[in-house]
Amino acid sequence: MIALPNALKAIGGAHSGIDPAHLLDVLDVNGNAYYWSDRPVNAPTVLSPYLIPSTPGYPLPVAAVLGPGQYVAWAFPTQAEGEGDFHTSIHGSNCSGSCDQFFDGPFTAKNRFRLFNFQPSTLPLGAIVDSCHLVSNYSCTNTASNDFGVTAPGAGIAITPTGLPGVASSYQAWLQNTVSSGEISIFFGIDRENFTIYSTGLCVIYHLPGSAAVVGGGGGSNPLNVTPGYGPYKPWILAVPKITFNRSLQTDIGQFILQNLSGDVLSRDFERIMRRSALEGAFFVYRLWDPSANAAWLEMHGTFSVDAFGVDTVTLKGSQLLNPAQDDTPNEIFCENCQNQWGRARCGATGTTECQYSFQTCQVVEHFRGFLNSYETNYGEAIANVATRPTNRRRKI
Amino acid sequence: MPATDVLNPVAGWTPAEGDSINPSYNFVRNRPSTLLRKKPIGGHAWERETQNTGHVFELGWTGRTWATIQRVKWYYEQYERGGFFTFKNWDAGGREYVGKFTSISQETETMNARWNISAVFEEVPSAPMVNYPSDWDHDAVLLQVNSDWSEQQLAVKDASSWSEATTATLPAITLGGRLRGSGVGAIPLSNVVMTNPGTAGDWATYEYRGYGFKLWLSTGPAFGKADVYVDDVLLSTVDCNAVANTGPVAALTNQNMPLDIHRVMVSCDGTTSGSGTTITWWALQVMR
Repeated sequence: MIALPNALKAIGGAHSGIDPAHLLDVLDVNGNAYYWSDRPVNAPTVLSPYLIPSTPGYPLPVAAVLGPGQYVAWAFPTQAEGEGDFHTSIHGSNCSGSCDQFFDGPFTAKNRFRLFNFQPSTLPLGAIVDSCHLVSNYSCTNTASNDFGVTAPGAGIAITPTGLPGVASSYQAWLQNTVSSGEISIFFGIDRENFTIYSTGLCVIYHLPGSAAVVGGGGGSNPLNVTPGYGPYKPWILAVPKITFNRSLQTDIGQFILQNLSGDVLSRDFERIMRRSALEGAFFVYRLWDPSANAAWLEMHGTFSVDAFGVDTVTLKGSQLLNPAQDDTPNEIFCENCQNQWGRARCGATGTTECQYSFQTCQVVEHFRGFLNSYETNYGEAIANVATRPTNRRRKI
Repeated sequence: MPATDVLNPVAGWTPAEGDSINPSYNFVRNRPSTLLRKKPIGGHAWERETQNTGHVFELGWTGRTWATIQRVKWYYEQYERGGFFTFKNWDAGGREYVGKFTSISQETETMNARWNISAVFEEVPSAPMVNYPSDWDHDAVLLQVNSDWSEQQLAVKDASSWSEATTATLPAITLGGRLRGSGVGAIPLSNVVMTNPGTAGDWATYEYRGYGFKLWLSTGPAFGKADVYVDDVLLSTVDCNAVANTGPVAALTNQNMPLDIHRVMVSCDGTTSGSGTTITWWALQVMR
């Protein structure tokens, strides 16, 4: 049994005057996270979105580990130029990082190429950049480890963040804050005999004020003084199911009903969610959350299936993770006949005549998968070893 | 014949009927809600426009001549199925409505040669009008890019094409009979806009229920041309380029549109008569 947090013990049930809130963290099968509630709640989240590259096949920065409430945006260069032995080109005006920079012979001096005119994704209004990682897909013939890598700042190949038309203000702020010299110098390539960069991009990790990344573990604390009531949880939940927790294998199932009206004048929010993800099979964590204790009375983990998209509501059927009905098990029954197919691996018979699937005709009895209904009956008689003196087991309290 | 057939073309008494064809006092003008609304326990309600239905009048004629009763009944019979006619609300500025009688009562004779009758007149959408509603100062509403909950209402091509910004200059505009905007003593308006650098083909669309519209776009030296589509048909190309920054102006007014759910789309043209190509959408003023 999981002990209740002390804060909940101190408050007690239904004495605080604040009705518990319903929190729903959802992680769909594509790694998008959604946070829904039945009222604006600034509570810590328990599920985080996966790191998803915006370009298929693009390498992910190892150092980029998303915390709760953090998101990813990408910036790609659209222009490049090389010095010395470098030959550079960028594919198209908006190349999503695809480029060719290659060197045909040994470096004899520092050779530099520049990637610039980065075209970043538009960050949401008020986004705060937490970190940035340069990601590059490259190959080289020299395998020495100390003369090529990603570092900044330094000499060698430089990425110059100049000329950023249409960049979100917070994005510019990040570049200016990070790049004191006006350049990010990343690559060293002195001793390479052959060196090719296939693609390059900047992975930007950011969060929105009021999200869990800011609030940390304490819903209710408000270190950035964000507008109260506008945390990561959107008040979309209209109804939650009555959940009966069973101590057996019976699965807890219930329907969550969410509003399906929000969005712009053309598209509902759920249209967008369904366009870019799949809620069928999405993982969810439901919590009955007490805001005054910053803790959950109940918590349920499970998966969703989409029941119905109504004209104004969406119904999601939640099933707890332990759901034996979804187990893939062999279609076998408990009976006198062997459930193995003759001659297959589970049977093990190697003869030429098929058995009759009975124990009597079994050719590999140690693999017999059936119920034996013949019992030995000739046990010898013996006096039962039972107590013969009555014992009064009543106790005086 | 339909829209030009006016049930009550004049406000007063007409000798042909020996009566006024206008309904008696105490008639009702109503507009049923066209919104779907859902509200969670906390937070605000979520709403969405779903219907294009218009005004409903519950009209009555009390103690009228037989000629008046005949007139009302004829309009009911003539336009009952597949038709519409014009009704003028004379006491409310003479605004016209196009619709039909959807129900009518049995006439009753209440005194010598005097009858009572009542009927329900419902406005029909998509019907052309002789005179479209034009009282912008009192009947029109302003639909801005965000709701009052700061949730984006303007639909855009994709999230990275248009970005939210603010305009330093607001127009002075009368809404609901009160001056709003940047004028002295005016009631403030939201200064949030959606802006695009002028990438050709980047579009922003507002779908609304109502009649005509005024499209408010920012003008100045940084702004370019925009193609304005109404219900997917190119209406006009407006040039937002100007010598000085004037803030949002009514770049395009299209008053003569029937009641319906309409879509106004601004597609960046990518060209300009000056130096800039930016397109900035402030609001859509819609006649109701």
